[in-house]
Amino acid sequence: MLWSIAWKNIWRNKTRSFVVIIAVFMGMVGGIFSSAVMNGAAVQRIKDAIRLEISHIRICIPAFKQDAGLEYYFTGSGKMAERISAMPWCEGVTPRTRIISMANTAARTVPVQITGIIPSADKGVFDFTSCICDSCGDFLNDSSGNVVIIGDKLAENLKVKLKSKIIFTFQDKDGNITGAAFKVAGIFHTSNNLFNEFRVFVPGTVMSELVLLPEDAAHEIFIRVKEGYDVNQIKEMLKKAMPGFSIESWDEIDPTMGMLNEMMAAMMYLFMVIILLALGFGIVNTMQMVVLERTRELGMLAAVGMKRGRIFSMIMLETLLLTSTGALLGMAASAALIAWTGSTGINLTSISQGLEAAGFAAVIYPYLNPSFFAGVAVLVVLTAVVAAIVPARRATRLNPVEAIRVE
Amino acid sequence: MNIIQVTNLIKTYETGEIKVHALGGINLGFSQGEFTAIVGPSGSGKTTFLNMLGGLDKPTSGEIIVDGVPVSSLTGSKLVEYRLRNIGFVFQSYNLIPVLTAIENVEFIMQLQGVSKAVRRKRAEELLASVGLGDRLHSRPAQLSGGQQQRVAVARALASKPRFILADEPTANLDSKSAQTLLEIMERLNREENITFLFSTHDSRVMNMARRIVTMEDGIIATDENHAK
Repeated sequence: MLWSIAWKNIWRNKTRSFVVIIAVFMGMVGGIFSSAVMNGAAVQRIKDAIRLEISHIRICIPAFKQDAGLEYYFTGSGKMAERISAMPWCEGVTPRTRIISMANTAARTVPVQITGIIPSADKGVFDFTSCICDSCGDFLNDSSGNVVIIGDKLAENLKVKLKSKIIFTFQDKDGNITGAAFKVAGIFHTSNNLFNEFRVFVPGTVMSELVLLPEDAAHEIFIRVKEGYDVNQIKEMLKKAMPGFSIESWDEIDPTMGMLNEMMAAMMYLFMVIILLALGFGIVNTMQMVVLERTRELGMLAAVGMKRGRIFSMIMLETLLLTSTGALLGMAASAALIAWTGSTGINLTSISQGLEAAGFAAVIYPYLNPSFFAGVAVLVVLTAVVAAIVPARRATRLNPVEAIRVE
Repeated sequence: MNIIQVTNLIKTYETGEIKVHALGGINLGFSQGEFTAIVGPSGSGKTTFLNMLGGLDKPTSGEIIVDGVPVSSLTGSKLVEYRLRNIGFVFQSYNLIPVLTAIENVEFIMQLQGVSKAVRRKRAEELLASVGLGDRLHSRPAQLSGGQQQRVAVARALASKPRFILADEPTANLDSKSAQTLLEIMERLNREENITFLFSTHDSRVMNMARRIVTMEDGIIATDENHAK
């Protein structure tokens, strides 16, 4: 009956209760949906980074991790890749070489990072083909010669188009300055402008020949893990199997991705805590009013034998029900809004330059892990309980004799 | 044999350096089945005395013993439990829970006592029928007249099967017809079920119906008369 009384008491003053419910509802929708937008952008950034830049796992020698110098390569990469690709968890594996170079055209000279790839293997790990539009050329193939694919931002900087030539100059393994001309075979666009501006891809065989690396040398091996497998578990397994190599998961390859992942979770909860804190003060005020208005009734209840604990629980329940009603409605509306915008996306192309400069896509698909809703529900209950303490204590401390006389 | 024995009950309120003697040494006993009116002018100590009997206020000194239990020395949850199990309260302004129906208001006390749903529903129906509200079980207080609300309050007071009922000016807010009906119901319940009623009142109709009239003046008992009918 305590639940029933608490629920009925909420509707004594419908306007006041609706105001609180709407405030909680708005707070929930605002907080949860904003969190979903932020999280969606971050998740997409991480997915794009894994899909295009860092994959799930990288193998290199420890010195390369420190310095990324041309001389820190290892041989036998082909055989290593072959063995790894036979693993049941392996979606794709690709060795790569990497050097820093200057890209020269008649218009400009800019620094770039050249990555030598084995196109057929690379397709199994990275997804560049989807980043090259129909009129933007083609991805490399294993028989390609001196061709390069570059980002649209770099093309713009160097003022080059498809089939234009770019001269790359760099040092070979012996420290001699060397270079070669490459024809632009494709122009890609990713949501990361820095990547579009700085990274170029050439056939690995051509690059190895130019920098005098052995045929099966690589600086890095990238692995894409099949869905459903634990990346960290596989990383640990590889560490044991390949002592002497540096083996990192995606959040270690690019620590900003790992940080983004962790920071976003903390930020979302912080955001909700701030919103609930503000709502909490409103709820305290409302419940104080409730207790004040019902002083005589609460005095009567104490007089006829309702124990303090029950009076406390009744006010606590009222606060919980009032807050939970708004919160549940808010969570349901947020879930619907997230489901809708998550399928259509939120188009922010008007500010795409700013977003892409920071590595984020211009179309954001809001997303939240369902566990976040459970976390929010716990926070809502905590808020209601904390907000109810002061008014509930006040209700239990009423002197029945004085309270009954209150008009 | 008295069920309530009051011995040298003193209550003094202190406001700064001013001391107000609300009760100046009351000695009284009440036996089972009494129908007693406590009368006197405003400020004579009637309500204070009832509050002491009801365990709502503490005496400065003296003792109240109900069925051998020293009520005045009970504290905290024991005192609340004592009130719940032994006393039925009827207040001047009814004090029903507005969101509950008549039957739910009556049931509520029994629920506090831990009575099962089926038992309390049956008893609540019987009690409301006995106060003439068998057809208004599901009406909320706002849908009832003042007299009907006070009758629900009487049914609620009886619900816990108390040792005695304390009624503080129960007819003060009622019109004469409603007051008369209420008094007749209480008198019948007293007569038929031997329930002890103690009233504080200014109402001459209550005094006419009471079998014992205790008059208080300045916190002491001025007269104590039996009007057995």
